[in-house]
Formats: sequence, structure tokens, C-alpha cells
Amino acid sequence: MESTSLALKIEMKGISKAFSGTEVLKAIDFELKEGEFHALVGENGAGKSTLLKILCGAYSLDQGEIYLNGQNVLIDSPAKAQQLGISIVHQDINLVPYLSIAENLFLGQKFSKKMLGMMDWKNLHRKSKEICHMVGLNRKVTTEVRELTFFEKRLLTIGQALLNPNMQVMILDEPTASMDKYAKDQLFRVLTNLKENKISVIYVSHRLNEVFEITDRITVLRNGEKIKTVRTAETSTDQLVSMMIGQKLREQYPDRKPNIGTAILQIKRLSNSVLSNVSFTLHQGEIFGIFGTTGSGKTELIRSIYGVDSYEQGEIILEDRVIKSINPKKAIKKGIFLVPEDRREQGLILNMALKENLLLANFDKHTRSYLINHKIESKEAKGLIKRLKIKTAGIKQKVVYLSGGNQQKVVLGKGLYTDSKLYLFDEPTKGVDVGAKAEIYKLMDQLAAQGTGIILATSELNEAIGLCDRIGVLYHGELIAIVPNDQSNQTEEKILALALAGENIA
Amino acid sequence: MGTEQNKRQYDWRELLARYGTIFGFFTMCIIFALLSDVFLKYNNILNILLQSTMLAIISFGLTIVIISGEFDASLSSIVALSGVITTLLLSNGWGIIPAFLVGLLPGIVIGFLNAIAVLWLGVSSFIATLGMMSSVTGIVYMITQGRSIWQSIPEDYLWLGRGYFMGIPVPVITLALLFLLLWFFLTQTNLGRKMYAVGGNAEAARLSGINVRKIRMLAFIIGGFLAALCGVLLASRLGSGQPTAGGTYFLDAIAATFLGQSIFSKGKPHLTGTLIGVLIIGTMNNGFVLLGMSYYIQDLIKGLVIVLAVAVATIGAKNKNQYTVK
Repeated sequence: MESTSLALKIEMKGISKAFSGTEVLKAIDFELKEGEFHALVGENGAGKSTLLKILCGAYSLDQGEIYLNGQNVLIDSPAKAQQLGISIVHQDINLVPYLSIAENLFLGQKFSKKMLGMMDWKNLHRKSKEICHMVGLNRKVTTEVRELTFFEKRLLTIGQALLNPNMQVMILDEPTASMDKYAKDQLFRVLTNLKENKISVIYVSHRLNEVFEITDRITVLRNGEKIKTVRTAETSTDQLVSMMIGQKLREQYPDRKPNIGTAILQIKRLSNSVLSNVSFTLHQGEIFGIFGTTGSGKTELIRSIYGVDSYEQGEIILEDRVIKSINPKKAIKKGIFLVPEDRREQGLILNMALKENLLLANFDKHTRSYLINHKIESKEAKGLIKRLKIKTAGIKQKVVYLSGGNQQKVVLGKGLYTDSKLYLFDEPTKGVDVGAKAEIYKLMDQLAAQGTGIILATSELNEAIGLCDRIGVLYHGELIAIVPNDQSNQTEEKILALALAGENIA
Repeated sequence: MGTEQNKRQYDWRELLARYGTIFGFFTMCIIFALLSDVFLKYNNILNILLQSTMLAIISFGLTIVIISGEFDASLSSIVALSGVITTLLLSNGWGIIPAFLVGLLPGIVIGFLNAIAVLWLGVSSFIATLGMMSSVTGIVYMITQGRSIWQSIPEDYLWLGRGYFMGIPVPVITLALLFLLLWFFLTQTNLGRKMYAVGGNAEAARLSGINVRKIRMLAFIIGGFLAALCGVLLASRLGSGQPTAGGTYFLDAIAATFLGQSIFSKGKPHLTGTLIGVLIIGTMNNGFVLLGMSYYIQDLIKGLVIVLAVAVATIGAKNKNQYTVK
């Protein structure tokens, strides 16, 4: 770990970036040394991905300078970044399943061709073999990618980055997402090899224990600001966590006065391919948070309760009655409603009218023997629009024309119209403006005050702390702790540490 | 929200997308009227309407299936099968009403089988119904040995396709009633609403508690039923069961439905659009004959017109973000 003596590979100075007036990066300085493994950590929205996108040419910077090997460089396109030897390995794996390993490796690369544009297969396969050897992918290079395991595909994406002959900086964005420990160890062995080749790595991960295992230094971002760069050997999980959290304003959250009633939902030992042995109880009037990083199984848990995903073992008990089989239709009948994660893909029929969307999940009130009563329909729709303060040109407006916050309110309105006694919210404020956010929180508080039970799955710790009565922490599909929320800093740190490292540090 | 923002601004793209097809239709009519003095005669217009009724009925069937987000290529083969079965029963001495009703059955059965193949076995609707088309056509030829069935068909049966009621051709009245019925179903019932929802976004519809399979199965069955209805009416109009009856309907129905999607609303299938689409196709067929164009050139022009109309509608739709109300 003698990185201090090494030369600077990259220096980013005073990097600022704003999106439509909102500053997301505020004069950030960042440095990366030769052969160094440098972790970038921070909560969702801290600015990690924006900073990296600037470095690999996907976003332009508003202010600041980037130096590569001491020279000021202008990175204005992903191609330019490639040319300078900066490669990114994305979290999502984008490979063509029906092409071979070799073909995927060289996809989009200029490669020496023979006459008439014929492929030089011999050369291509030889080169591919070298790359596969480097990343420890022990497969014939003619194997089709669809036959590879998830882990092998990950190795292949790293191989793609290594193909760049100028390669000096590799950015890894959550490389171990949905990977087990064995695969992770193997990946780390491959990465350690890179280090010997003097390649510098920027490592983004939500899993702090991995950061401690493989990196030399750690930079903490918070709300678009750089908090500190520390040497990994000289810090600890709780130190990092408190740097990530800082002091936060909670004025956008309603002042909860929970009135907790009897148990409404009991989850017992729920297991499927993602979840293992999840158990908890939700009460009337309670907002129960499920907090975890991306890939921890929040969405899967919520979807299992709603009957979208299936579960292999365990029991779901709604008001003392075991639910034997469930699908969304039955769930709504029983008084459960899901506000899904992706409103455009799962929540709305974009090219249908506002009123049609609002009343889609329940036809009982405005239809009589299959016939739609347009009078009641428009009255109900207008009532919901007023209650939720949806900004619209009229009830016949197509929802595709509404803003993100208003679209999300439509999904909530759809839920309200079902008069459910249990609401499942999956990331309800994703991509929603501040004003709409506060209104959504207020609505959840009101629902709880009326005695409904609410489960809020979120990856925003601030949201969980600001709103929930108790918070369950998911880590790798296990509900490792249920923490009563007293909104104290210790609680917040404890929850974050649990979610990031799977361990209790308090 | 101010009222100024409530008014959407229209520009030429929007106009083109919404009304381009209609405009093209009128231009075409003017050209036909200038080149042929028969075109605008009452009898010719009635003729166009009459010839369009059959195409309209099968196109309505296809429109319903497309609204639910699926596709049905087997409809034209059902037209032939139903016509053949009804005329076969009639020539074997069955009564008109039983023969008529039994003739409708294959439409329902085939619609159901399509639904099984697509919704339960997971075959894509295009492939499944294309396969069905081939099989049904095979059955038609097995039944008829390739010959048309015309022997001893009662005169009374022909009234459905050729008769008049209060001076209006019976098929036109049938079509008008059918249009009202389907319009009512699509806009006034929750099943119609759910059908649009399923076609608009199946996943969102499912999470809203809608049984997507049930709705789509219903769409396939209605589609098959309408094709069968088209078949028995066509047999009455022709006075015979023709194994080749479905032939031209395959492409014409697809053309009419997609032309219809380009009318008034951008890319949303709807009955009125389909009806206008049918009239466009019908007028085109009629005008080309009046102008004495060769059959092959007709096909060529028809193909081009369809692609052009849909392209015009798509250009407008691409620009939709411009009309966003914030």
C-alpha cells in the first residue's frame, strides 16, 4: 500500500456541475495515483456517478480542470476518454448473447481487417485468448456469451475495458452487484493482477467491507461535495458512515405522531431466489421502512407480498388469515396496493387519459354492471386531482404529458381510489421534485393516521429516517435487523453501517 | 395552471399527423372525380360503401385485437372457413338460422385457440396466428376440395348480403349497428377500458389488478367472431361459399387498421379511424377500376400509400414532447 510515493495519474480540480440550476457537484477535487485502487463512496445522490460520467466523457463539466499524467486534458466525449486510456465498466452488463466471447470483446472496436472487410479471425482469436487469460476467463473464445455465467460475463466486461491499448485508468461501478462471496474473491484476484500492471482503478461500491478489502484510499462525497480523502488503512466503517451522513435537514418530512394499532400483516420466513428467511410484522397506522442498497432485495420483497414475484417458502398473513396464493388482482381485492418502482413502465398507461389512469385499479365505484358511469368517473377523478394537487390541463389529458412528480401522484391517486388498508411503496420519490416529494410524504403520513399500514422500500436513508416508525435493514436478501427509529444520528449511522457492511458497529 | 397553457399549440407536424391521412383521402377523391365522371354518382358511392362493409367488419375484428396489444393474421382465413361451412350446411338442407349460427362458431373456436397458443404457450401472436391461418386455409380446402359451394342455397339467405331495408342495403345497416355496438363496448364498458389499458402497458395493467390474459383472450375471441360474421355475410352477398374468399382481406384489413391509427390520434387504434381507413381502401379499389388501371399497378400504389400514411403519422408522433404541459 505504498501509494504515497507514486506519481499522480489523474487530478480533477474544482469540478462543478449543475443540472437545470441544481448544483450536483460543488468544486470537487479528486486525485488518483498510478496503480492505486481508490474507492468513491457516498449515499445515493451524493454525486459519485456524475463525477465519474464527467471523467469518462459522458457529461461535460461546467467548471474545473482535469489533468492526466500532469497534462491538462479536455474530455468532451466517451471516445476521447477511451483514447486517453480511461475506461469504465458499467454496473449493467451489456453484451450480445448470440455472439461469441471474441466477437463481444471486439464489438465496436476498430480491428485490423483483411481485404474487402473480411475479419481476421486468427488474429482476433489470438488477441481474445490473451485478454481472457488476463481476466481469468477460462472458456473457449468461440463460446457464445449466453452460455456464460453472470460472473463470467462480468469478467468479459472487464476484458472489454482492458482491450484499450492505452488503458491506464479503469472505473468499476458496483462490479460485485448480485455476486456471491466466492465470485467476489475471484474477481478481486483478477483486479489485484491489474494493479501489478500499473493500472489505476476507481472503485464505486455500496459495500464497505469490499472497499476495505481492496482499496488503498477512499474519497467520501456527500450532497455533491467532497468531504475527505482518507487512506483505507487509517479509517473505519463507522468513521466513513458518519462522514457520509453528516447533518441533514429534515424539514420536508411531516411530524409523525404514530398511532400504532393491531398487526395487519405478518411476513414469516419468506424465501425465494433473492430473499432468505425474511420475517416482520406490520401494524395499523405504522410506516415500516425497508432500507437496503441496490440489489439487496427490497423490490423483490415488496413484489412477493403483492404477488408479482413468487416465493418458495414462508407465509404471508393478512389480518390473521394466511394468504395461500396471491396475484395483483387478488391483492387489490384484499386491500393491498403497490406503488411500483418504475412509474412509467409499471405504474401508468402513458398514452391514456389522466382520469382513465386514476381509476384503473378499481372499477367498482364508477361502473354498474360493466358500464362506466361517466358522471361519477369525472367526479371521482376531479376529487383525486384536487386532493393530490395534480397539475394538469384536464382529466382527459394523457399522462405522458405530465411531469415526473405529477405522474407519480397519479400512481398514488390510483392507489387511493382502491381504498386499501395496506400500501406498499417502492422508491416512491425517485426522480420526483422536492415539492412533490414533500406532498407524497404528507400523504403517506395521513394514510397512516387513518390506520392503514405502510411499507416503504427505499434506498434513501434520509427518507427512511425522516418518515418511518421502524426500519428493517435488508442485506443480500436477509432482513438483518429491525431498528426502532428515534431519528438520532446513532440510529442513522447504525442503519447505514448495517446496510453497507452487513454488520452492527454500534 | 393558466388557460393559455391548456391550449395545445398546433404546428404543421401536428396537423399532418392528425389530419394528413384525411387530407390525402380528399385529394384522392378529387383526382378520381376529375378523371372519371362516374365516380361521384350516387350509385357508385353506394357501391363503394357496399363493397367496404365486409372489409370493415373484419377490420373491426383486427382493430380490437390490436387494441389489446396483440395481432391476428388468421382472421382472413376464418372469413373463408365460416362462409364455406354456412353454405355447406345450407346446401345440405339446414335452416338459415342454424346454418348462420354454426357458421359463426369456428370464429370463436379459432380465436380461443389463438389465445391458448399466444397467452398460455407463449408463441408470439404474429407467428401463432400466421400458423393458424395456414392450418385453417388447409381445412377450408379439405372441406371444399378447392371448389366453391353454391348448390341449393335458399334465396332468403341472400337477403343478408344483397337485400334492402327501407331503401338502404342490409349490409350497410348491419355495419352501422355493429359499429355502434363495438363503439359502446370500447368506450362505455370497463372491459373496453381494460382492453386499451392492457394494450397500452400490459405490466402496469397487471399491477393494477387487471387480468391481462383474460382481456386478451376476449380480444382474440371477438376478433375471430367478427371475422366469422364477415364470412357468413360475404357468402350471402356472393351467393356461394368461396374457399378463396379471405384472400384480399388479409392485407386490406391490416392496411385499413394501420391507416386508421394515423387518423385523429397518433398511433392509437380506434374504430372510427379503422372505418375511415376501410373507406380509403374501398375508394382506392373503386377508383382504380374506374380509371381502368391494371390490377398490378393497384397493388403497387396501395402498398406505397399505406406506408406513406403511416410514416406521416409517425413523423408527427416523434415530436410529441413539444406538446408537453408542464
